[in-house]
Amino acid sequence: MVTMMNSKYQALPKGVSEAQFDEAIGQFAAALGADQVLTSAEHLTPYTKIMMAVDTAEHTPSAVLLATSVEQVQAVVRICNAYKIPVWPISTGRNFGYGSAAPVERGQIVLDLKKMNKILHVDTELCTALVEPGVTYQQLYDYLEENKLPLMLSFSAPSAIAGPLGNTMDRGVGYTPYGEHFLMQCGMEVVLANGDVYRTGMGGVKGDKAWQVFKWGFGPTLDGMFTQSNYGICTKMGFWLMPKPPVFKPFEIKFDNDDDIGDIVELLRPLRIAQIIPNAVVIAGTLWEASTCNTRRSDYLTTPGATPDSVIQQIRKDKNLGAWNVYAALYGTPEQVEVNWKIVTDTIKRAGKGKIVTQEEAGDTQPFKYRAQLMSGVPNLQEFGLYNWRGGGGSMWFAPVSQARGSECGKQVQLAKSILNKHGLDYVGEFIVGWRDMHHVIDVLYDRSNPEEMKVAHACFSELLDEFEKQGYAVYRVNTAFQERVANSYGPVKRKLEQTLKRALDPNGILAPGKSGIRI
Amino acid sequence: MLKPTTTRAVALATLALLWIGHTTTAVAQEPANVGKGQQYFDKVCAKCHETGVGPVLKGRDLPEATYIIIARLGRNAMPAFRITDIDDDTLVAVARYLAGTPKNPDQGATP
Ligand SMILES: Cc1cc2nc3c(=O)[nH]c(=O)nc-3n(C[C@H](O)[C@H](O)[C@H](O)COP(=O)(O)OP(=O)(O)OC[C@H]3O[C@@H](n4cnc5c(N)ncnc54)[C@H](O)[C@@H]3O)c2cc1C
Repeated sequence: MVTMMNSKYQALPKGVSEAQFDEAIGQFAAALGADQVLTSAEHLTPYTKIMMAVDTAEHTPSAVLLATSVEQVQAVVRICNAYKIPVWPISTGRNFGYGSAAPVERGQIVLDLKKMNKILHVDTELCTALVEPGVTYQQLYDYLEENKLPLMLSFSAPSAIAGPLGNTMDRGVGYTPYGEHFLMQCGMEVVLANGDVYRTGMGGVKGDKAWQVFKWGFGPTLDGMFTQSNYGICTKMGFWLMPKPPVFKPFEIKFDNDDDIGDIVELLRPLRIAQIIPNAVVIAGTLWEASTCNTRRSDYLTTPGATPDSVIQQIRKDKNLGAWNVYAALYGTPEQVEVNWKIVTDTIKRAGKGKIVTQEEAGDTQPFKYRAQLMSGVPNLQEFGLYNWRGGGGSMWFAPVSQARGSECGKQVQLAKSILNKHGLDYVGEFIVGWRDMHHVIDVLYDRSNPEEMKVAHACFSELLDEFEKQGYAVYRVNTAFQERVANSYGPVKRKLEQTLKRALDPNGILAPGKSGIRI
Repeated sequence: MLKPTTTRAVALATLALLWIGHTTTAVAQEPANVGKGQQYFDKVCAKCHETGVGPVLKGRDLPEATYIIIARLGRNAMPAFRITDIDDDTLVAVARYLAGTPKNPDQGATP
């Protein structure tokens, strides 16, 4: 619970008086224009819509600033330093289940960069793009379509409203061969806390043309340091785009038993590492599948608590779903796809389990349709169906990393399911296969309109983190209510180094203090 | 103590006022505005509201203010749409477009 004085502001930054804040707001208005500085309830409320199991008031911003240029971002950090006001940058601000557009701490100012939305360039020969923070995937998709550019995007599932720069800054993932987005990032422009504009890689070389094609430049390569951190505000990002292949062949493999997960991983890993299946394959559990084809828990049950296995079995039957449903695709020339298709089908035949479903067989049905769209860069929002499973809009992603090894994945599923069920919640999970790793993504779904269930979800999430940590697992990313907790999983030496860097780069601690647990 | 419900109530009232302010301006505008509303709906809202993911919005016979308020606040898992996602004029155009869709007797009145 948060106490609040009687103030004309929705919240105030920690340690800043209302009079000081008035002054700062005046300065922001002078630098950005009064209509780019928002403090009213009407304007701030959309920024407070969160899905985490904590009080909304804990993440209410004091103001929102809308910058439209790099110079304005520099002006913002200058004023923030003068008044010691913390600022939380967002790009497209659709970080659902990780904190949405709200700051990590009550009272921070949100710097919304959505209005900086220029596609600065797309090179169809080198297959690269350079964009500003506010560019959405949909905008980029429309640009490619309108100009008939033979390139393919990779994006997160909320593709129609999220964007490449913000997603990559949080090291998000997509579903094409370019699905590990930070791996495909090339060249960044960052406004530092002191107002300097720093370009990574080749970006500092006068007259350079290689910023978007050669990542490393000379000397230390710092791009990674700016992701999931608070050392700078990214104002431009370059990344690689995949040439649109002549043939795209999506397919699904359905497996009947919960225990099949180990074998699935062992079967697929060699194909994935060898790039026979080149994309970020998904292995989705039954309830994930069910909810993305419009199945609701209330269709089967009206009692609260964890959904019994018998009901899950019934859903599989009714909706023709596997216990595990693999989505993958082949990309290339007809000859390449033919050869690789034979390797895939032979592998499944040899395994003696798993039923392959092709696009021709699936037709226009969900969830195949949206999975195929995600694997071929066509924006949609179908995955929001997850929230119809329980209703109430509560969601926190629990996303532990694991090796792409059957035994590891099976162990994680059992552990997660037992903890979720103990708290009366369901295992709604999928594995996103990296190259050698798994992002085991579990949506902790709960009814956020029910205070009791909110408490339960919070306790459940904490227990998931604790119990997984005991087994040597940690998450790759987490919502803003658990940044400090997860930072601890990665050990004190890392935290100390990050703090040393923070003190050197941002001595007043104005940039997103608390992001990834990093503070001065 | 700050209760989220209080903030919500204040926001609702303010948004309703905003909407009333806008109706007067919007009335004077060209029908081209309707095109803008439908365009935005088709591009963004329809991806949930015409696919069975979110509730159907067309033909609901709801007042324009309802669409505006829900878009700005979000509802359950529906994200809130900020001023940078959709400006007031476009949002009013979307609401006008939806409120003007022919009433469908199959659609209940509650969103
Ligand atoms: C149904 C559903 C499915 C999802 N599926 C996926 C998925 O497949 N893959 C995935 O990765 N996520 C997924 N998400 C989570 C999330 O919605 C996406 O990752 C989304 O792309 C993040 O929002 P954004 O792109 O608007 O980035 P933003 O919200 O703009 O940015 C994310 C974070 O990065 C930092 N940041 C942003 N911009 C800057 C900047 N300019 N400088 C410094 N730091 C910055 C901030 O901390 C910010 O909170 C899903 C969510 C839902 C609800």
